[in-house]
Amino acid sequence: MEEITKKIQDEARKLLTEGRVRAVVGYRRGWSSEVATPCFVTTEGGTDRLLYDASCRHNLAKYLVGREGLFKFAPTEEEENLPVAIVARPETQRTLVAMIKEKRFVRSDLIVLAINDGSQAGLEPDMEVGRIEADNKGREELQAKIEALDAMEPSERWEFWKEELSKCIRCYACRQVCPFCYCERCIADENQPQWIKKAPTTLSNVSWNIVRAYHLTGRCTECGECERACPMDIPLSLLNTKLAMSVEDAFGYRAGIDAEALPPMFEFREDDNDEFIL
Amino acid sequence: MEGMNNVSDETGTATKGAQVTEGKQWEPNIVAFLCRWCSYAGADLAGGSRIKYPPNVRIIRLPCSARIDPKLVWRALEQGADGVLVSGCHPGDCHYTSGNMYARRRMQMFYELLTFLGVEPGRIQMSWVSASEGQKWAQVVSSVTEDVRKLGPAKFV
Repeated sequence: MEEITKKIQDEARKLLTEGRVRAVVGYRRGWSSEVATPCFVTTEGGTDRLLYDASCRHNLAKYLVGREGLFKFAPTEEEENLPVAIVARPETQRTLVAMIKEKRFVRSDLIVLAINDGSQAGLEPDMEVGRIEADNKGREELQAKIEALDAMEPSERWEFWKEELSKCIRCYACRQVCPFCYCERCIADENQPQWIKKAPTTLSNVSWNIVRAYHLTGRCTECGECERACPMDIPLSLLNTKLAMSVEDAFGYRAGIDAEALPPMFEFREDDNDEFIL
Repeated sequence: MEGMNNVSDETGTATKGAQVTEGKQWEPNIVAFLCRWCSYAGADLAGGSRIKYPPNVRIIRLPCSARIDPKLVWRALEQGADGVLVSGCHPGDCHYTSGNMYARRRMQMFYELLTFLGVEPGRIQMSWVSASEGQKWAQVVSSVTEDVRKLGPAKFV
């Protein structure tokens, strides 16, 4: 881990000194020694703050898009045309691929400092700053849980989700932290018409979570940020991974793996599954 | 607070949308979202031809099956519908060339999500009905009504 930290600092220093980037997005120490927090380095002197360790799990792609993101829609000043360097864990790399497909920015806007674990991403990193162990256990555990839920009766599943989603306090942390929730105006904030009621009743919590999960169909790269951000410990990854698995089964698509393939909800095939239709 | 969305009595039978009065047998309340070019015309033909089909379905006309946002489907269930039927043109017949093909993918993934959350699979159904298929529309409504009747009233509170 220390070598990775050193490599990131060296590369960041080099990029900033040479004036090749306008900012480096990485991690720094947070409020305690076990917590990392995102950081944006724009001067050579700030590069000492950059670090990488096991607590660095954030999906930094979030900080590139949206109203406060580093990429505004129409860059005006000259400096804004310089690329941004980003420390990218494997799931962040997949997120970047999916975002490029959604035309949030182009590949040349980025310098990717990749931390790889051997998994596939549809992106050629500019440089590899480190290698970490692949975390396959996490997804396998999720899949086992999903299979257990699938084997239940629908009413039992409903009870399970009612229990879980009734905890939701509608803080929208899941939305704020999700790199793919970059709408200028979220449907959950709309009043007229009010599709999702504001009061955190169980039913309106279900509505919110349906909208959140469904908007990520074929887009979610399963970084797990929503679940980590959730203060009520709702297993949101179950919903996201279930949909990602369904998309893979039905359309053979996994978000962020292939830079060329269109996202599944953006296209169709004549011979799509027709079995469920009367 | 919970009861605000879906007024239900102790047996869970009287939902806001179903308007069931006491003493009467429960009847499924189904909301159908139809595309205006094929399915709506098909339902119109069924009516014009005096084909008999169950009166449990409330039809909402939309420009195309691709206009049927999944949140409309969930909203219907949330408001007390016992079932939802989504219907559009046959593949290749869409007035807008390919709207129904997008709708098919959307609904397929939406089924997966709702089923995973615990909504019984038969509550939401999709069909292709063309403007000349009045008979098929009657059959579709009958079969969906029967499926929902077997599942019983929806209890999403």
